[in-house]
Amino acid sequence: MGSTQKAIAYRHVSKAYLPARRGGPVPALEDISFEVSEGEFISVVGPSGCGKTTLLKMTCGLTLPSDGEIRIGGVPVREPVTGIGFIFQTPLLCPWRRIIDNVLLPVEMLGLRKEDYREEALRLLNLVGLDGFESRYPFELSGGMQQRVSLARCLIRDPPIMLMDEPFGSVDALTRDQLDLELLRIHRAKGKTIVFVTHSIMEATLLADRIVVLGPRPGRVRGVIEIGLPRPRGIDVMTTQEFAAYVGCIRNLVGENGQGEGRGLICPVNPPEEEARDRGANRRLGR
Amino acid sequence: MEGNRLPCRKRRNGVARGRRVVGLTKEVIMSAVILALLVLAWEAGARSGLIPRFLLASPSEAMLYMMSHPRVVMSNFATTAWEVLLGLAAGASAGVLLGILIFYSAPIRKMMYPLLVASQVVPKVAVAPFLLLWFGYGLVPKVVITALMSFFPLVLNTLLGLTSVEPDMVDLGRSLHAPALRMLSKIYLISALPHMFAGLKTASTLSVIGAVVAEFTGSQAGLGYLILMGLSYGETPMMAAALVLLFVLGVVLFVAVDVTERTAIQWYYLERENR
Repeated sequence: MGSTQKAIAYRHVSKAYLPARRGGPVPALEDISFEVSEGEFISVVGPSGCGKTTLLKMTCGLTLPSDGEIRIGGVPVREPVTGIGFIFQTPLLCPWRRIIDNVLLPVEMLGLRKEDYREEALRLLNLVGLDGFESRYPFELSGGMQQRVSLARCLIRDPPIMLMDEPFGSVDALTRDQLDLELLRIHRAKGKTIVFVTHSIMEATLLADRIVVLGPRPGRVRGVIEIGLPRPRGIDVMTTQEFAAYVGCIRNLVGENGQGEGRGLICPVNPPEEEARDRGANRRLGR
Repeated sequence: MEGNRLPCRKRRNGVARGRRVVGLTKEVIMSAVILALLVLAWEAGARSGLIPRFLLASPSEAMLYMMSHPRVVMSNFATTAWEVLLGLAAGASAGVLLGILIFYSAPIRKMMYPLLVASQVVPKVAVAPFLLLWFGYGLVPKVVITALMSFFPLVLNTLLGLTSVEPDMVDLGRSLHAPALRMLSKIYLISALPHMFAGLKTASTLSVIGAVVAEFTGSQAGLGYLILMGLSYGETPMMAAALVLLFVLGVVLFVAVDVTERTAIQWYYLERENR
């Protein structure tokens, strides 16, 4: 692998919340350590309330760890980082703005000239499959379409890193598959580093190069699974035995069966570790 | 919004809702009919002698008075309308500003809140004579009372609107390092508009009360002054005419706010209708 500088590095990150009333601090995440390479697609799965959202918010500096350190490109995170795009669970569009103006919101917020980014915004709307919707208002779009707008809004600043917090959790299963595939296409086209939080193991397996599995609150890393499925992946990959084996393996890690140390667990049809890593590396270098 | 017409979805019966700013619906017609019936009953009561003339003049007598004294009626109407408009504008602006200040600064919130409550607990009617003493019989005390009446709903509603902005939206701004002022003008204030308009509606009805109370305390013009004059001269048609005009003033003001609201925050209603 080329550089030793990781895109994101978590080092013994813990987060505890101080409750509003009396009582000790409530731990949300404990001793999280892993690294994300440039251009890598990481999925984080775990049960609700295990601190997945907190992990993302800490990554871009919206909240700070109570212990440990997060580095972006080698630089410790101490305040909100500008070069990171964040996709929230809800589309979070301004209902008073046309679609194009919603995409251009970050540009306006940064005090840049809207006109300079108009064409790029139209290109991005095209990329997310919303050609011709630029003058519509959010209420005219379905939930899935609105989430696509928020994807375009995130891409307008061209952030090298994108953090996605269960972005397709509130759309129906069919739309979700479609959006996942589009995200894979965008990932390939733009070469972004993506950390994608979800509670759907299937979705995580479909998307990720590696999956970080967190246990229930307080969230700890139960294991990191390398997904050796070849890319580009289509929806048909989900019907393969290999896919099912990965899903089963991760489910074990998340669930009760993985109570002990998950690290020793070996996925049944996981290709030998070196091979998988090589494949991942080649893919990264090949792009 | 650049004043653009919003597109909208067709609804049942092919009625395109949302585009209509004000329109005649069955309900509006019904309430007009009820109002007309009440006026007719009043007229009938007066004519049949059920309501003695020295207690209340009939609507037709009030109309007659307005037609025979157009100059008196117009100038006094204008006086009160002017007081109401100035007072409401001053009160509403002060209310919005105070709401924003309170929202941004915890110390100001802690300092101002008791004072705000105190300003509302003291009956404005009781304050009016003091203002008269300090500012004379002219326009100023009327505007001050009206402003005092109308600013409180705007403080509360502006604050409510600003605090109900989605936390994730705030995070979006934070992750962009957006300056506070830009955040305020592009996200907070626009999101708060629906609440602010609700406050303005309440304030618009209170403002007319404020102006009349101020006129009762001491004045040489205005519709409140006309009512007092009518009382002291036993001129019941004058009193009835002034009352009708106050009603008209209040309704026109309310409808004006309502129409402005529906045009300014059409997105809000469309969003809700199509959810």
